[in-house]
Amino acid sequence: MTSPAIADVADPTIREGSDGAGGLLLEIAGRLESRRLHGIWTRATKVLTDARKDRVTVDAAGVTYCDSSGAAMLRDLENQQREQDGSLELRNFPDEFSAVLDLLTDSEEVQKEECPIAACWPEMVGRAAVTVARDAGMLVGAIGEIFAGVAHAITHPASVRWDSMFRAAQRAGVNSLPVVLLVSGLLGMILAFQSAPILHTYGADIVLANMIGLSFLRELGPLMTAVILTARSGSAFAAELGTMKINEEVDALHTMGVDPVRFLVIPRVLAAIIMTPLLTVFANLAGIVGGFIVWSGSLDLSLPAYLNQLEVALRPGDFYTGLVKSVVFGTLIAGIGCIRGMQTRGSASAVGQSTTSAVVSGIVLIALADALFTIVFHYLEL
Amino acid sequence: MSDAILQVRDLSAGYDERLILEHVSFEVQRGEVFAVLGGSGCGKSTLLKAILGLVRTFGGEVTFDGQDLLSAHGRERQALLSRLGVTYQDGALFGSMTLAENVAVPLEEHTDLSSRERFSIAQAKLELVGLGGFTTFLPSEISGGMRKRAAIARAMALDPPMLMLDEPSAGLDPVTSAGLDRLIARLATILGTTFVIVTHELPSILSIMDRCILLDRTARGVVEIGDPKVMHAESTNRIVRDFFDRRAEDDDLDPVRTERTTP
Repeated sequence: MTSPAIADVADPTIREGSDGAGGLLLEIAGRLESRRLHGIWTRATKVLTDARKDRVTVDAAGVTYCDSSGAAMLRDLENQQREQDGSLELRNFPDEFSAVLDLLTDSEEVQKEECPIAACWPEMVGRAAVTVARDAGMLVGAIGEIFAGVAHAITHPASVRWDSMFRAAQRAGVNSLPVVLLVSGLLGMILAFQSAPILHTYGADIVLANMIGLSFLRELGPLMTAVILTARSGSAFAAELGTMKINEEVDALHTMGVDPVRFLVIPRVLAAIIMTPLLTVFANLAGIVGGFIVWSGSLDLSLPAYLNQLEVALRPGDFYTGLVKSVVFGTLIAGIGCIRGMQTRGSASAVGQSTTSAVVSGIVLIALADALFTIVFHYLEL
Repeated sequence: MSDAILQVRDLSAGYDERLILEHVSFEVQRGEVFAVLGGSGCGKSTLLKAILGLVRTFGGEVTFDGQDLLSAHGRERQALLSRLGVTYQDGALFGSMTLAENVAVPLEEHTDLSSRERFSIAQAKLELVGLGGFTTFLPSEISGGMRKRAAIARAMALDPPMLMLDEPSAGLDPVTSAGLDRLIARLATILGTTFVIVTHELPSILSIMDRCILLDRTARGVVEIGDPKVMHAESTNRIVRDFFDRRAEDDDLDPVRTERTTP
């Protein structure tokens, strides 16, 4: 029962006719194997659907070979006929291949399954809403657990795995410094370059320093640092912990009586809490330097004038509000990254989903927190 | 008359510059259930991968169904490989796809069947391996043994004349393992499929294998080829005896342990 080379044989054929008693007769001949079934299967399905006969006879006397895919086709034709409240009789099927048919018949009894159909949009919207609601509830619980863990770490410093914390701080913080400096410096230049002509029109060139200083210290410094860290470190945390989760390393920690949150999450969150404000300070500096490059190059003003204007425009509160924001942003970035990693279930593709989810959730939460800070600081007149 | 579907001649293979197998030669007859045996690290899986061209070969020839598998390239190689079903130790199912979708991948790539027809075939193959009710499950939602069976269903998607299974029973309980043996025996008898199976499960070897090849790490190659029952009963080769008698290399040095482990 061997299969010859594919090109050596012709496709199987089907011929329709009458069985002489009002029923449909289908004569099937040739080799019924997976690579050659398409034409005959489609044709037979069309004939059965068009004819809609109560009784169909399939004469398989001309069948010279049948593999399990061929058997699957014959069974599918029988199922189609049954769905139309008709019957299908298989006749003259070669004895040497009947065992192949029996293979499918002998398989475990299972309910016939339909080819899965894509969900309609109201169902998809409903499912998405339920998922978002569940996710939000879970997120609140997990963030609470992380804050409790951080509080415990502060009150019990000996319980913190400081070596892990420093490693995470180096990877998430120190190694992020070049990209933070580059992006913030360029952003400062772009902002100054776009604003300079408009300010020049009103003779307000000097205010450029105020604008750059305030924008970076209060808003852009913390925000850009947070976005960069979300993309760089939040995603890395999710991927690391997600891979550990699917490799059952997190389960191993549980079974060793070790709290995975204390062991894996707290060092990363502490690292982000310490490094995000530090990076924000560097981002502020880079942005202000970027603004000065345009100030001196495009407006032809001096460094002392730039520094003097910054000193007049900025208050200590501007600097501190930015730092407060960055501490919260750091907690959110690391927290979300670790939560998404710990939520990973299943296989390698789930790690990818967790990473994407960590970045998306991180950016959304940072934007929400930033909006909240803006309102609070406005009413507190900070 | 010899009706070999797979011929391996003088094959040497390894990783980077490290040689694992040297001058391995054997033939697998059409319809045969052929086992590749040996202890851990002797190169069983490497042999399978070398036959498929997945690891570096340092010489030799592999002929599948009369065509040279190692020198084939591009479409010719794809066409040849599509006539071979392979399963890996952990199943290697695609985690983001359901079992039915996994089984349908070769059908989608190598046939013109519609999605409904592909699903029908995938369902039939999954039923063959006892997973008919799990078509919409993800690999992560089923057990290790079920994943291995699903991998066999995927390997069988195109009804290839030969299936190569890498440790299909490893990590399975004896009942599931015996069920898998029965499945292999049925497929070999009814569909005429040739099986090349990497294993060190003695019950499987003695119950369903027609012939086997025993590899050894020190020899970096073949120790003996033949009927496993005959080898088990009659071979005088020490490595063969150690393998079938489940005796560790250093057992002679530890009489107390030998006494405790020998029934």
